[in-house]
Amino acid sequence: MTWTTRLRLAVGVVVVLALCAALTLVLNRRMSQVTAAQATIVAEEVAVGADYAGTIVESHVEPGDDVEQGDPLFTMRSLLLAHDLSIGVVSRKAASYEISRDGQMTVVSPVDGVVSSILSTPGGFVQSGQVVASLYRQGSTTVDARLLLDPADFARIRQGAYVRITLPDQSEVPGEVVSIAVSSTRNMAEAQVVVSSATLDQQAGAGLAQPGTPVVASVELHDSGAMSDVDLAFQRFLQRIGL
Amino acid sequence: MTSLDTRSAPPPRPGPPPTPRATTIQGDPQAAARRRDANAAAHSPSLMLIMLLATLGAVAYAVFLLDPDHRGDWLPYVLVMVAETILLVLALLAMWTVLSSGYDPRDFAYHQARERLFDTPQVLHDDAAGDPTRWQLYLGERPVTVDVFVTTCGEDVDTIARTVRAAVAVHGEHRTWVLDDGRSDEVRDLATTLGARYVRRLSGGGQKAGNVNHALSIAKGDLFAILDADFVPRPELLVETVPFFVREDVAFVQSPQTYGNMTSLISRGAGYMQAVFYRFVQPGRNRFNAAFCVGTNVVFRRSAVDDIGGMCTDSKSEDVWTSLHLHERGWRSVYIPQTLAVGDAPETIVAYAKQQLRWATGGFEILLQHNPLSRRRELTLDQRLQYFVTSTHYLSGIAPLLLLVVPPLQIYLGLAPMRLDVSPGTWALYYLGFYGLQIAIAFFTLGSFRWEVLLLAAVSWPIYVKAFWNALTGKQQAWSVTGRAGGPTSPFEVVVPQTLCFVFLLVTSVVGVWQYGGDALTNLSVAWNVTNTLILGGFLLTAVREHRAARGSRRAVVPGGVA
Repeated sequence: MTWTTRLRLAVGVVVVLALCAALTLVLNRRMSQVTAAQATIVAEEVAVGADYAGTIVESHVEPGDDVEQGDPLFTMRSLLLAHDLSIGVVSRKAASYEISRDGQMTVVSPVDGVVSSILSTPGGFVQSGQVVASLYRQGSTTVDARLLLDPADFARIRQGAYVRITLPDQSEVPGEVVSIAVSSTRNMAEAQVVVSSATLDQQAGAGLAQPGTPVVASVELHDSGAMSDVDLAFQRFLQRIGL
Repeated sequence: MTSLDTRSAPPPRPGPPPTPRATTIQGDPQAAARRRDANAAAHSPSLMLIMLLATLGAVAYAVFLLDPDHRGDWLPYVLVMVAETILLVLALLAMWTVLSSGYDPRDFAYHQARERLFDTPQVLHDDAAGDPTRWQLYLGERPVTVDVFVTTCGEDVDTIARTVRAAVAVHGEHRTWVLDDGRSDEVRDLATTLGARYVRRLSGGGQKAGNVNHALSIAKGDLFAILDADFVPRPELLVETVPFFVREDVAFVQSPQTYGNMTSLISRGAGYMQAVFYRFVQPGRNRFNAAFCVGTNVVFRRSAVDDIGGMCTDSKSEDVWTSLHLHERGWRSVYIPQTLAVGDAPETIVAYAKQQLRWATGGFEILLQHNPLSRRRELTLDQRLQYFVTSTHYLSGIAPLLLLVVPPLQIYLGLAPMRLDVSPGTWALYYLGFYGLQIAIAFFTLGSFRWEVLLLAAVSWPIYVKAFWNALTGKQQAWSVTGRAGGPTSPFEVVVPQTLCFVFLLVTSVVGVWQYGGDALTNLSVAWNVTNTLILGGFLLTAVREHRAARGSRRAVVPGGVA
């Protein structure tokens, strides 16, 4: 063997080992997280309706508007309500809406949130019990993720685990696991994970953070393997050099 | 041996017409058995059945791979598709060629010419009955002069002596020439002693083809045979081949390269790898009039070679190029699957690598510089297809590289070439439908399963990648002769890529087993990776053994002051 060959072999082996090490770290990252097959943003929807049939006089909000509890949503005029008031069946104090002296009723937002839709326009007639507007309740925006997991990996999902949520525009939002439900399909555990995200909540209803938006959710698995410390060190190193 | 071998048989009887027994094979059952031996399976009706099944298997496998439902991640999928497409298409074309291998090029004209090859009264008149080397050869009543060239370039003198002695003893009047590119006085003396003519050219260049061209300017025979220094001809070399030239359009008659040294893993692998080619592919190519010359054990018609301006010297695989030029000029070629000379297969990894690099570069050169499918070539459709197969054949050597990368991709990056919901049983069914039946064909044609061939085929990709690169860039590789110059070289000079690949696969296997340890059995990619690691490991073990042997022999040589 010539020295050139020895050198080539030595350098080659070092390069190959470095490649293997890098690939193993990549593998470790991949093994320590699981990416959802399906994930969407969901939010608790609050329907606001009218107890009395009547005609909508005015609409105070538009879809996408932020509302606080008690903010007026729409005003309607109801002859039945006026009648009931006049005969004293309902009192103005007990109503969950404001009733003006001339019998106009203003429906207010029951919760803090964002208006998702308005179903009737001014001038429209509303039946008793009909939904007129719906709101997304603030603080209820979460990501529903369905994960296909090995049974062994299922045990590695913990509440409070870090979740990386990638929106369709590739921006990333942090989140954490709130609750886990599971069913089994074909030897795989299909976990349904609810992920809460403060950032997502702040952006709720606006832009891409709307309920129904498909997202990519990568859930960090609990890592207790031999490589977890090495991996952590590698992560810190990457963060330090700005990657 | 034919009955011409008069050492054991009585001399031919006198009297016209020329005695049939001088050239027939009836008297010698061994000759018939040997001739049948070479590609006996080609005549077997069962071959057709196996080929049919294998074709169905190949098509089913292709359909399985192409099914969009089975497509996995695009990177490994593309790798697998490219590799499998190359292997499938070449396998189908090869099977098609092999199906034609039962064709016997010996027609009526051949047999008639063979009957009249010698003029018995003349032989008796010359009192040469006991010395077949003095029997004048006749074709169509006209005497033909034949030159036998033994090309040498620094080979071992004993090897050359063996060949030259046998070349001189070939039956039929001929002149034996030693064309020495090694410029050795020892070889010159040897040639004189053995009764051969010695030619040494002053200019270099053109390697063997240049050497032969130079000799053609001196030797003026109608036909000439070329033998490599290590190919010991059998006495019937000319008797079996010359009658073909009775047809005016035959340019050359090629006989197989048969190896007598199936002793080491490398030579067995290399030898059996070519056995299929020589026993089935070349005979099949006969039918397409596309059998090509392999540089040795071949008899040329001089006027045909003159017609294309001499042997082609532009390439490292001058033999294939010369054949291609001859076919373009409308000449016919003949291949007979009958051993007429026995030589040495490469015994060491270094020799094997050099040989394969040379052949593969030549093949790729044809593909890149002289595409046989181009409309400018004056070839028949049969010949185009066959030369296309020749020029792409070594791509099948690159395919294993692509397939080696696929399991690590899955282990490290989780990229699967196929959809995971295909059950292993389904996959195995289709996979074996192709590969299993290919092995069955090899088993049937070679008579046994030669694992060495598979091993060598799986680890030789660096050679072919290098060959492709050389052909693409026109880079000239420094060639040294297949013989030994400057003592044995360590195989690690040429197996660096394999070594590094082995290290990579070994680490990958360890990582794979560690990560997927629980379900290693179900994880196909880990199993594949371990298999590939073992194959490369086995090959490197051979390399280590050779390395030790080379080091040992160098130590033995150095103190003597020879090196």
